[in-house]
Amino acid sequence: MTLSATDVKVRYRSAGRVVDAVRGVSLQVDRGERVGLIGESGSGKSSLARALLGLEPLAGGVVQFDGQPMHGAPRALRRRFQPVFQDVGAALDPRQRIRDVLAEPFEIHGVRFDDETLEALLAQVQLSAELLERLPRELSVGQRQRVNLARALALEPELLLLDEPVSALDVSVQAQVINLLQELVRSRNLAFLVITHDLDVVAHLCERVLVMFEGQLVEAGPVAQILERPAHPYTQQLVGAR
Amino acid sequence: MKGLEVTGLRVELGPLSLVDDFSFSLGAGRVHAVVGESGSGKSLSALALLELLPEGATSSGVVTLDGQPHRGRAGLAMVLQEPLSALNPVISIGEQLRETLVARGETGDLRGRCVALLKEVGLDDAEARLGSFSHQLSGGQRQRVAIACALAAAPRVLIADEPTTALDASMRGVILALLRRLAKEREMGVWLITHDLHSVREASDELTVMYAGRVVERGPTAKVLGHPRHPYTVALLASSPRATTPGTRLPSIPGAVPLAREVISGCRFHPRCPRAVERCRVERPLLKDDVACLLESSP
Repeated sequence: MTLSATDVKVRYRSAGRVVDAVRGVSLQVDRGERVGLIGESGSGKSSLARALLGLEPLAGGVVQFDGQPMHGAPRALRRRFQPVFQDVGAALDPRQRIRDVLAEPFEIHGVRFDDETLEALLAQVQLSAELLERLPRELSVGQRQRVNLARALALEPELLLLDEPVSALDVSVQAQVINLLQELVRSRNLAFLVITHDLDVVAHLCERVLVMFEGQLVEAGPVAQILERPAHPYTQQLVGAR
Repeated sequence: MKGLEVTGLRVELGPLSLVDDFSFSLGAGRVHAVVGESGSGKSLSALALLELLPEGATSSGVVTLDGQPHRGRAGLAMVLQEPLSALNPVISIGEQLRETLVARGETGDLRGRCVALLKEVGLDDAEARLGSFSHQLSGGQRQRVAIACALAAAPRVLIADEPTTALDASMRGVILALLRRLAKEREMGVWLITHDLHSVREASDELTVMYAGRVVERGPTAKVLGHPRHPYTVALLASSPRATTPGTRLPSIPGAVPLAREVISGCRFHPRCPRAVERCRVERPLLKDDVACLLESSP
């Protein structure tokens, strides 16, 4: 499995103004790799994330998953690369029971499943089977984030894109979700790309980090190297602020 | 005593106790941080003082400001998490500052006062910024302007509720340092509310840790962070990715923060506490020697 982006550009037009949100980014994530993408608000990291998923039209460049373009990719390809978005509340339909939330990916992709499949999925994210009949509002924020994760894992993807996976969680619950992510990655040889503004989360979870600033990647390398010898002024500021 | 003193503050919503026996002391020129997670009551206790509680909630307790019994908002000002929603998008920065000064009955060189306020909060090019609108500023600049608006009321106490949470990581330390400088220079107390225990190390003189509506520990910041005594403070400090070797398992706190409607007997932290014993389930720990833990107060 390889995700590759080559000279990706994203451009928005609003009120006669042109904004170049992503200005020529190239990157690669291979099987089992844990990569962090860090940048401040407005740096273009969320636009890049949507572009990687094939959800944002490109103004230039190409995104490929195992050599096939992500834009207009068939379902069979999409199921191998799943997103988990930041807004835990908004990502779940308030009227849908957890059972239906988890069943949806199987139904969409025409994959057979039964109660045991759903229960096993919940067990993977350390939730009990009782939650199947609950509504999202009956769950804590941490539990909802685990349900989101379980849904993304349903079709056994090879790569996850995690957009600020713990920033909406209470501090005492963050550690549980970080530990869970680590276990999942180890047990399934899953690759992930974590998008965050939190250097500590990247330092803990990732091997490699990409730093985005004003629409471009300004620095990339092993986490330890970036923490010890940040080269770009923005990275230096981030490391200094820890 | 110069400063703010809150004793035995309670906030209730019908039968629910949201803040239980909150006591808080803030000296002039000092920064006192109140740290807690969702539902800890850290924001509600400040909102109770400002008479801004959600509908139906009631409060009681004793408040003094500079030694005098205090009621209402006089002498208090607030800075919120999201400066973009705190500032009016359709009037200029200068006009917003002016409004506050006029409301206070100030006359004379109001423009000069506005420029001085913007300079005081470290906004570059203060003079030229008077005509700017909030959307033309960066997150950090907006928060500086929101702080300037709060200062325009010449408060004795500035309440800052998660003032850096909506900002980029690289700006957070800068804004916290600004608040600390303003506290000193103006002989003003800063009541800093945050969920981030690590961020207050450099930013505050005193620290109060709250859990599920109650104060669990308090003291000088360096002392509490250097030698935390309540198991909740200990666990919260240890569970940060910053405190652990990268790639290793984080020491996590089991379970979730309780909801206000959950009735928990004894110590409200006991279901999640690694040290809890039978007593903790029945007996409510009182704040004694600055810590509310049965195991800590009985050596």
